[in-house]
Amino acid sequence: MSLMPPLFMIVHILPTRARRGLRLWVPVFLIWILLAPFLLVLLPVFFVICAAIDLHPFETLAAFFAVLGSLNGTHVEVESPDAAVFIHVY
Amino acid sequence: MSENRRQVLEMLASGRITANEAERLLAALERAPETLVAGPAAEPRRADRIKYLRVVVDALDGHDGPTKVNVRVPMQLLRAGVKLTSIIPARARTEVNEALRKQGIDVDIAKLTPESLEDILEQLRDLEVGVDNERAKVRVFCE
Repeated sequence: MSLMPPLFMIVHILPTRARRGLRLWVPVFLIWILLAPFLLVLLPVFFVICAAIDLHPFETLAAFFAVLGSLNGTHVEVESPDAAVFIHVY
Repeated sequence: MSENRRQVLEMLASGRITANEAERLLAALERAPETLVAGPAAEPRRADRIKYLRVVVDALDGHDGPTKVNVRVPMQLLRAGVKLTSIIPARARTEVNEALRKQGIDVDIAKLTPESLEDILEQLRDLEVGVDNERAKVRVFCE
């Protein structure tokens, strides 16, 4: 199982009569980089919350990263007369 | 009667799967008994080849026209989900088990291990759920 979190995401909104289309390459890795300092600051709070609700903090972190690392390859496609949206996670 | 056959028949009896799905599962069990008992050393497990769970919906939504939904969920996300069950506190686990039992699903999530998930995934490989009527067509399958 990969522990690599998603790096990119494509969000493609197809054009309709009412509005223009949009194709976005979202560099998710930048979001992780930006969030990293906040996560470090919030880490002690996380440990306190885990202790309060009887959760093992390291197992919880491992499970969280396992879920995050499993998102690669997720594909959602919704197409209706009003809108069409494609999301793909790399 | 093997454990797998008994589970399929129980699922059929409790109404969780249809007769057609049960027939497919039983046929799959008969086709591949060697694969199921041989283990990972003899042959790569079949579940390893399943990469995605697909949900395809094709609906005729009123007068606007058709709506199509196509979702592909990586199987590794399911595997990671099993890890989440291991971090659920014992008290909450009991409540979840109780809620599942009320819904007719007699499963102890504490006993849900990656190994048992692999067994389920192997069964899923040959399972295809199809709902087809004049307003919507839904397919759930693995690939």
